[in-house]
Amino acid sequence: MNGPVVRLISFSLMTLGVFFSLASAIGIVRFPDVYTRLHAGTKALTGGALFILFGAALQCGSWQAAAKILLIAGFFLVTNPIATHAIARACYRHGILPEPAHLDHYGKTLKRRDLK
Amino acid sequence: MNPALTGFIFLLLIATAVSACLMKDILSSVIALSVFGVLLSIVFSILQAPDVALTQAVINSGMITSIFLVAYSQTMKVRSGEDNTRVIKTYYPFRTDEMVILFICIGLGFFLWKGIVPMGFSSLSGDAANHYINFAGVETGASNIVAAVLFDYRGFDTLGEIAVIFTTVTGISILFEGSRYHRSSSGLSFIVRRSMAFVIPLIILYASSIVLMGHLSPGGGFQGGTVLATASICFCVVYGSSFEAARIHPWIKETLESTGCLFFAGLGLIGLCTGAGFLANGAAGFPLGTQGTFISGGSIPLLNMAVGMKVGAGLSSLFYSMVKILEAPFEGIPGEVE
Repeated sequence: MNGPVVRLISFSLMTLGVFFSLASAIGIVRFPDVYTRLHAGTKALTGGALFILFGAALQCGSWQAAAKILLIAGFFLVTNPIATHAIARACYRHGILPEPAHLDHYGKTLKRRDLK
Repeated sequence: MNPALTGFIFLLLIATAVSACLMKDILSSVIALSVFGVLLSIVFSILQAPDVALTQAVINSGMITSIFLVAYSQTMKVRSGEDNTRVIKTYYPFRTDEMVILFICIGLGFFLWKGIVPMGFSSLSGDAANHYINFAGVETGASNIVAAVLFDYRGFDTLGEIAVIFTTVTGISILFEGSRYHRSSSGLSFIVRRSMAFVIPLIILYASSIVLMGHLSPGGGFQGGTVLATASICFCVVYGSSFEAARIHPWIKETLESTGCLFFAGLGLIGLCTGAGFLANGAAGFPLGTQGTFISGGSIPLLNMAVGMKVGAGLSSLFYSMVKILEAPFEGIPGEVE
């Protein structure tokens, strides 16, 4: 499974993944507040890592190794977004508000719960 | 391995270590230390020491970070009654006493370096190392030479390591035993709880595979036990420590830990009874099996299981005894949006 077409697809997937990871890193440095940084850190990074892992799964010879890599990809797909979700929720409860927010459903729900 | 990549990782390693020392905020310092641990595990896997890399990845970036964070929150909470603002001292990067410590560290590093250079980096020196490489498979039946050294040739040292962990866990449990705050948070949000329900079985599966395959592939009791303790830490953090205590009672953990210790010592005593010496493997009559199959290595898989039980239960009860005080009522509003 090492034909030139497969390698081409694999390397282009990896390049796409590296691009997304780089964009994520730049976003974490450049974005203004916590929530936008988390946005860069989770979406772009998850996408980048998934593309790199798919590329690696195409490269490796046996299907067992490919399955292992796909399992890692699934693990990453589950853990990274929920970690970001937990961080964002902790930030909100700590009192850090997104500055230009117009809609705040979560805050409203929390207030309602307090009143009860 | 590409020397440019190795050099780059080493430079990053030094940079994270220095930044962990110089950061004024303890929290950032702990996170820099965690990054340092991940880089160190990459370095170990480049140096072809996957056992150490596994240990390093789990312990330094998972266990130590979480334990440091818990300790940090504990100390912050003690002070929270009088003054909640973070005190930032005026801090000069190089005071005289720190210069003295820096000088001692650099001097020690220099002499270590001078000690390593004559030994050579790639060639093995000493009869013991050559003996292990050449005869470990024949004498112990284990494919993983590290496991063979750890549980057969140097089994007594491993018993000492277990005793160290046992003492640590006992000491910390006694230290935190008399706490009055037996409250638990309700854990993280519904999304996190549901998602971790998918992840935690995989973690436990991985841990048990590391323990059971310790004589065949990199890993073993220490690594697998630590991964098992990580699953328990996930329970404590994600579902709250009362959930953890309800599912796995602390008493069960203590029993498991002591049983692991006794099992290890008992397996050693079998060797003594047969007249082959404490912790003897093949000479004591354990069937060595064929090298590379699941049932091989004599007593090594059993010792791996004992160590896995011991380390997993010990570290998780250590974390539980630390975290159960932390979860005070100010943690937040329980429950989640439906």
